[in-house]
Amino acid sequence: MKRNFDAKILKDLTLAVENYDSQAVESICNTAVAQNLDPVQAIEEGLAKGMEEVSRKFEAEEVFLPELIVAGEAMKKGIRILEPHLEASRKERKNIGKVVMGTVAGDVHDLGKQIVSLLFFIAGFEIQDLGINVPAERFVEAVRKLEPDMLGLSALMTTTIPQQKHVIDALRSHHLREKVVVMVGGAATDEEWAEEIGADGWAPNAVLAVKEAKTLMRRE
Amino acid sequence: MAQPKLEFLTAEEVESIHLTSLKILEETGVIFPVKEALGVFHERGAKVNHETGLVKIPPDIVEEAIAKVPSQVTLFARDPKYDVPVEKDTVTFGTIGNATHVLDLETGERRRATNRDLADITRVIDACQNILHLEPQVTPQDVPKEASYQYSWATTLKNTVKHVRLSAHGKDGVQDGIKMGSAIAGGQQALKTKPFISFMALIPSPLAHDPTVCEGFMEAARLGFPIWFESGPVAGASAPVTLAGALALNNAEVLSGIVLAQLVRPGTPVIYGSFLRIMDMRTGNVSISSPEFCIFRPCIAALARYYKMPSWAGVMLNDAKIIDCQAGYEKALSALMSALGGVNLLCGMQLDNEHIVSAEDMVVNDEIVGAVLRILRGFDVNKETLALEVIDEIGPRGVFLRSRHTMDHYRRELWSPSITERSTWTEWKAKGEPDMWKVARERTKKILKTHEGEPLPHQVASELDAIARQAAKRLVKT
Repeated sequence: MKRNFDAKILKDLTLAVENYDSQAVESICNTAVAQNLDPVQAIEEGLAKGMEEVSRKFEAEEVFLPELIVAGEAMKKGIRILEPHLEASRKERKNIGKVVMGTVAGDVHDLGKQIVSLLFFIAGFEIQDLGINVPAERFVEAVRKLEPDMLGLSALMTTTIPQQKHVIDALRSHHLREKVVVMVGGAATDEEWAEEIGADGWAPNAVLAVKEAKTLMRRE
Repeated sequence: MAQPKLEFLTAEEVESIHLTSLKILEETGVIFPVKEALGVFHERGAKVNHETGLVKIPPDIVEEAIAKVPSQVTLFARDPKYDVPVEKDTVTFGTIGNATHVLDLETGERRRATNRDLADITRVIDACQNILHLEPQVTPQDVPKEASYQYSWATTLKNTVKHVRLSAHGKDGVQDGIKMGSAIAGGQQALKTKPFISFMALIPSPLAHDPTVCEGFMEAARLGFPIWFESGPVAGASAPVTLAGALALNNAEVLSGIVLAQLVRPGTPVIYGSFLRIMDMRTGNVSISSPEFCIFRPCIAALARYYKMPSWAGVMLNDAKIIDCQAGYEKALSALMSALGGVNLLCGMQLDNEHIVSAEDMVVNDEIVGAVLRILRGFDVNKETLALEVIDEIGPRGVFLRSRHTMDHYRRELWSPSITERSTWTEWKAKGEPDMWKVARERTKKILKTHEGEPLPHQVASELDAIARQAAKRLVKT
C-alpha cells in the first residue's frame, strides 16, 4: 500500500511547478518514489495544481508562452519519474483525451506541431507524436492500434496539404473515420480547407488549437 | 554627402557572430537528409553521419567556400531595361511568394487566391516602377496543389518582363523552371547567358535542410543558376530568443547551404539572405514585422558585407491584415531600416503574416519604396546646391518659386508622391474623403485596364502551360 503524502511535500511540488523549477520537481519526485508515496496523489494534488496556477496566469496574460511551456516541461519531468511506480490498475494518468499527432508525408516542418503537442499535454491530453514526414498508412495504423480520441495532422506547405485529405480518405476507406476526431493545422491551411476535406476541426495557432480540441472533445 | 548607413554591429561583433556560427557548424552540425549531399561533404573531409544525415563542417571548408562566392551578381530580366546588377551599395525592392489568399479588389474581402489573381497581381507589379524583381506572390488555390509551384511560375513568367525568382522545389521542379525559362529565352544556353530566373533555397530552422529543397538547390548549382539562400528562424521558438544568438544560428544555417552549393559547383552565384523573425510570446503566432525584425535587417546586411556576398532579406511584411495604419508603419519601418542598413535586395510585400496579398497593396508598396529610395539618395552639397547666388538674388521677402534655380532642381531634390494625400481638407472632402486603400484601389483598376505588359508569343505561353500540366500529371497522386 502506498503511503499518503504529508501536505508539505505536495505543496512543495505545486510550488516547484509554479516557480518553473524542474530541478526541484525532479528531486521532490525522486524523494516521493524513495519514500514509497502515492504517485497518483503526487501528480493530481501536487504537479497538476501547480500547472493549473500557471495556466490561470497565462489566461490572465500575467505570463506568456515561455513560462507556460517551461512549467509544462517541469511537470512532464515529474510525471516521467512517477509513472513507472503507478499501480497497474491506475497506469493510465487521468487525462481528458488521447491525441495522436504528426506532420504529413513530404513535409518536414516540426516546430508548430511540437508547440501544439506540448500545449495539449499541458491542458491534460495524452499525446502520441508520430513525428514528421508521416505517410497516410502510418496514421491509419496508429488510429487502429492506439485508438486515440483525436488525430492531429500538421502541414505547412500548399504542396503538402493535399496529404491531409489523403489521410482522411484513408481513414474512411479503412472504416476508421467515425472512430476519431480529426483536426488539421499549419500555415497553408484554413477553416475552408478543413471543411472541404472533411476534417472536424481547425485552428490558426497552438493556443486556439487547445481550445478547439477541448470543444471537439466535449461534443464527442 | 556621405551615404546614409545604419549599423547595429561593430566590426568585432560581426566577427564574434561569424565565429559562433563556425562553432555551430563544426560542433553541433547541420542535417542534410540527402545522400548525394552527404557524399559531397564526405569527399571534402567533413564529419558525416550517414545514418542521421548530420554533417559537422570544419571552419576551413566553410572559409574556402565563402571565398569562392562571386561578390557580384546580375538579376537579368526578360526586358534588359529591368536588369538588376547587384553591387555593394545596391538597394532594390521586390516581392516574395506563397501567400494563399487575396483581398478582393472589388469587395476588399479576404478570399482564396486564384490563378487569375496571380496574373493580375503580377501585371500590377510589372507596372510598378520601384518593384524590380518578383517571386510568384500567391499560390493559386484553383490549380492542382501538388504542382502549384509550376502553375504559379508559368503564370508569373507570362505576366512580367522583370526578373522572376522560382523555388528550388526538388530536382524535377528546378528542371521544370529551367524548361520554362528556356522556352522563353529560345534555348537553355540563351537562358544561362542571361538568366532572368533564379532559385530560392529555404532552409528550415533549426539546423536541418529540407530534402526536396536541398536536392533542388544542388541541381540549380550544378546547372549554374543563381541561388538565393535563406533560413527564417523564429527567435524564441526555432532559435534563441536573444537577437545575437538568433543571428548566429541564422548565419550558420545560411552558410551551410552556401557551402554545399560551392562544393557542388565552385563559383555558383549565391545571394546571402534571411527571413529571421520572432514569435509573439502571448499568442505563439509568428510576427514578421516587429521592431526586432527591423533590427535584424541591417545586421544581416553587415554579415553579407563581411563575406563580400550580395544580400537579401524579407522586408515590408505585415502582421496587419488590411491596408491600414499598422500596415503603413510596419512597411515603412522595415523598408527604411533595411535600406539604410544596406540590404541589397529587399523582398516582401505581403499582409497577414505572409497569408494575404492584395493587388492594390502593390501600389501602396511602390509609393513607400519611392519615398524610402528618396531618403536613401540623400543630397549633394556643392556650390550649385548651396545656392548662395540665388539667395542673394532673391533676397529678403523674395519668392524662390520664381527662380529658375527652383525649376532646374526641384525634380531631383524633391520626391513627388503618386498616391499620398497632400491636398487640403476641403479638397479631400470634395474628392469623397478617400483613404489610401481606396486611392490605391482606383489606381490598380486603371493599371489592370491599361497595362498590357509584354505578353509572350502564344506558342511559348502554351508551352509553359504544358510544362505545368505535365508536372501535375507527375506529382498528383491518384
